[in-house]
Amino acid sequence: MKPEVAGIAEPGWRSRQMAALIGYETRRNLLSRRAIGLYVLAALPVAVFAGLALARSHGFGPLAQGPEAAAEIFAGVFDALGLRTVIFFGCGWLFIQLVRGDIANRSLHYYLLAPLSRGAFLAGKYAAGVIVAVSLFGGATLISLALAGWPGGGLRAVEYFAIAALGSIAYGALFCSLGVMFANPVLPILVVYGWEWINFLLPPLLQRASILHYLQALAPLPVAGHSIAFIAPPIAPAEAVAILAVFSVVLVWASAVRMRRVEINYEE
Amino acid sequence: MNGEVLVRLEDVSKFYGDVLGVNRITLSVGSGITSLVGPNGAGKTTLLNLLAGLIRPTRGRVSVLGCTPEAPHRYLVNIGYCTQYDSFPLRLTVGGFMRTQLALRGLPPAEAESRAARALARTGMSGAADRALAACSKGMRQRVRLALALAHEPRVLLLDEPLNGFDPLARAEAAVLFRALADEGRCLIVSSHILHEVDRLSDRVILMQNGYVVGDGSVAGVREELHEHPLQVLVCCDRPEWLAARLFAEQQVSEVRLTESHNGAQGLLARTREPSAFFLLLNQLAAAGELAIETVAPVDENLDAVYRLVIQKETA
Repeated sequence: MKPEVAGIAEPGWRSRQMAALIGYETRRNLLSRRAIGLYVLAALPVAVFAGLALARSHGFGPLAQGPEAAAEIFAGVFDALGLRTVIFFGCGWLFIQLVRGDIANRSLHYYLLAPLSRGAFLAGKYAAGVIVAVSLFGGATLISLALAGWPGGGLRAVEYFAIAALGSIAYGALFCSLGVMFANPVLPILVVYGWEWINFLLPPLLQRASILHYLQALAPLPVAGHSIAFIAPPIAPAEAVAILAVFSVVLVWASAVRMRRVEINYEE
Repeated sequence: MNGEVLVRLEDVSKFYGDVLGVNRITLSVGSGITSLVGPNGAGKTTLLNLLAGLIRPTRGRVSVLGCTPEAPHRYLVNIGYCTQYDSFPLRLTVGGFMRTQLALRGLPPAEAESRAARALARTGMSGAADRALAACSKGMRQRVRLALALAHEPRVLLLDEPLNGFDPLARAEAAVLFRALADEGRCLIVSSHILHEVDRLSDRVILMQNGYVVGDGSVAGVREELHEHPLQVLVCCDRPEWLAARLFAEQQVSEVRLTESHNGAQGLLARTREPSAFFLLLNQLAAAGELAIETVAPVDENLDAVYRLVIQKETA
């Protein structure tokens, strides 16, 4: 009898494991019943711009007022609906379920019985979540831009897609960690949501403790601020990207460390 | 059982907060079939979960083939675990589920395909590879879990109540499979709350109660005690009155009572001193079309008494 499983000793078995994990999780996140909520959220800005495009085709509505007006409208909708609602709640729904959903379904043990380190397991799940979030929310951003008549051209489309992708990565890391660390993450999500919404009221130093703050810094067109907002010093795009990247890596790493201590106890 | 120790637990304890799971377990297990027997809450599943690395010991050390659960990518290569958790990704077919799980173990697609087919064949599920998991009966799901546990051909198999949901024929087939796996040099650790269920297939029996190992030895001594304590079996079928009359004619049956199962199905409770002969008789009646059997489940109310006797014997 062979002392070890055939194939395990072959080169590339770890990459095959990761590919299998990411592929399976991506399909599951895109095709399962719980993905319906994601599709509904992603469809919201598309529906808004589809309505505006329909109005424009009849010669009225804000998009009919020219490319500058369309660009401003897109910037406002992207900030209020895209970032604050669709990407925030979409990532919340998707990434919280990565581990917590498997516990609720009593299927986490199937993963934990595979010869895969817990860190690699979590990284694979997170990667699959990012692929799904960027595809859906980045895709919805591009479709919305197309419906708005590509205000600002192709470069601006790339910029908005990149913001949606960065938002998915950063919020994904945050919600992934909440899903691993809290048995019931609803309250932490609401706290984060409140924090992101009132952020403009906070002193500049505290404003920096917000994902939205950095995403807004990357926006091609600034959104009109509130009259009572504290004005924070501007952030360079490179700095915003670096901070969001480091923030995401640290949170995923912390989740992987916590994952090592996760035990199967479905009765909890 | 040969002398090579495959599984080792050293002074292992597990507490869930203030609640004891298992306490101060020290065991060495080699190849062959070792049964963990004890009532519900004895700590059998906790012990198997510790061995599978699904939970971590509060104290002590667990190792399998010299590896510890802290490095799951090495540790789990040689472990197959048939859990009691009756949950599956229901949108998959049996074959698809098996292939996905083997792919997570790093097997190339062709290898995963052939191993899945082989494991399903060994558990009598060849014809069900294309069946949706959602459409599988309880017994079929149990076979799938069993197939999954042995598909990657591990040296150590942990089987948590593997005969649950099986009819007498399937139990007999499973016993043959377990023996074949043991004869291949594997270590099988089988948990059950029914002594009679595992006594014939075990090389070694470990009795557990309240988180402690209270008895550990060969089957012969346990079987001797069992002879004095008939097994009670619940049988749900379409003709319980007829079956009761038929069973009264059997010398090995000491008592028969008509009853209802928890879901309202008609049935009877029978006590037998020779469980194998009893199950064989049920098989024959079912095969002859005399009876449509819905459930056969041992209900061993005398387990504690048997434990006490075995423990007294071990102590003496």
